[in-house]
Amino acid sequence: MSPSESQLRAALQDGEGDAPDATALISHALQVRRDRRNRITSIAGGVAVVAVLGVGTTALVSLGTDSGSSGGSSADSARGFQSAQKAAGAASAPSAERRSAAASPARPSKTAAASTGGTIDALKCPTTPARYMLPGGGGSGQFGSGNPLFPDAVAAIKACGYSTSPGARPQAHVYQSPESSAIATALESAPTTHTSRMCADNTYARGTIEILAVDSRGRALKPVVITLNCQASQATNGTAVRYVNAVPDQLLELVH
Amino acid sequence: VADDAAFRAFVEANGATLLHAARLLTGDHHRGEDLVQTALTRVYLKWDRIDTPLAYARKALVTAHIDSTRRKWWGERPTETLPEVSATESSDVGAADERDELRRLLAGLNAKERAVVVLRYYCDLSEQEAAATLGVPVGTVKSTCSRALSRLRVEIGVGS
Repeated sequence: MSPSESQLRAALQDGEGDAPDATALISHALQVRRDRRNRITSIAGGVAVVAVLGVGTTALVSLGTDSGSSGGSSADSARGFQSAQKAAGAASAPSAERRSAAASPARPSKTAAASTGGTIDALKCPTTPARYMLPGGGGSGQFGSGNPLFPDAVAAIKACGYSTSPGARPQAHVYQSPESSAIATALESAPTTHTSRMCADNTYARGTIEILAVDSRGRALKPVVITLNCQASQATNGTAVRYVNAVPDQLLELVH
Repeated sequence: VADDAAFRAFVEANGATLLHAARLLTGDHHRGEDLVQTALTRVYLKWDRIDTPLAYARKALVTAHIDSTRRKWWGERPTETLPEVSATESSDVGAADERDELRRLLAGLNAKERAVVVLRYYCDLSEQEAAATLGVPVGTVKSTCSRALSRLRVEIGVGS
């Protein structure tokens, strides 16, 4: 036998039955739709939970770093500086009072002083001071070494002292204007070249001091690190360098 | 929400044809019902967005069938004896006419060949329509159909 098209058609059409139940089909389709939506919702919920956990963990790690609860390093200090910048930015929301304070940075008003006071309190001392890799190993006359340590007028300072004594904890103190300006001027006016001198004081303080400063608009400036040395302490913000023969006494007290 | 009344009317008008096509495609009564349910569910879920429900239903039917044969862990598996040919049916086949034998031999074709034969000779689609439904070129439909008919002729020749 060889099937013709008509035979094939007849064979295929033989035995047609009834139509399927439309009601059952609709209820099945609705169930499929519900299942699909539930699946999508649960997947989206899972993604959202993972995202929230990730953001929360990141925030906790960031907070832990700011408060000095985790291990310190130069990166640690840099993160702290960035957080402080954010805090300072948040604190310096535009307002008429802030604008008036910014217009006269040399003589900050009481409102501006209160503003910088709030900002300087937001700055946290890092677990360990920042470690700057200076061009030329920090030698005299390096490129940019003569630049100012504090690019803007300093309104307030938080000094963090790190003693080399075993078990010593970082000490912090806040200096408002005019004391902060005096400290900044003393550091700024120090020589930019290293000059050796005799050191007869064996009890000279040893350690590191990190200066966290804000300007009159409440913006955090780049931290300045003073490495204490009896012959000449080195103060730097990573580019500018000063060799300070006489570190202000109030700063030395932080490492004694 | 789909227009339930229109969908019911569509199922009333075309459900029997689609169900029979599904049975021919699968070669099995129950799997045919499952297949037509799958296809018509897809039609219902997209009812508001499709212009030609019957063409969409045919395409869904064929696609779901070919898809199911690809999933070897639960889909079709080659067997020595065809599952739809039971002992009683075999005895009936001996006395049956050519129609029964043709439908039995249809189950021996592969999924794509069966789909082409069903679309061309049961759904009465042109080669172009069958090609559009299967998503293949017209030439593929022609060659597949020719090959399927040749196999049927050979099987019938061997059987007789």
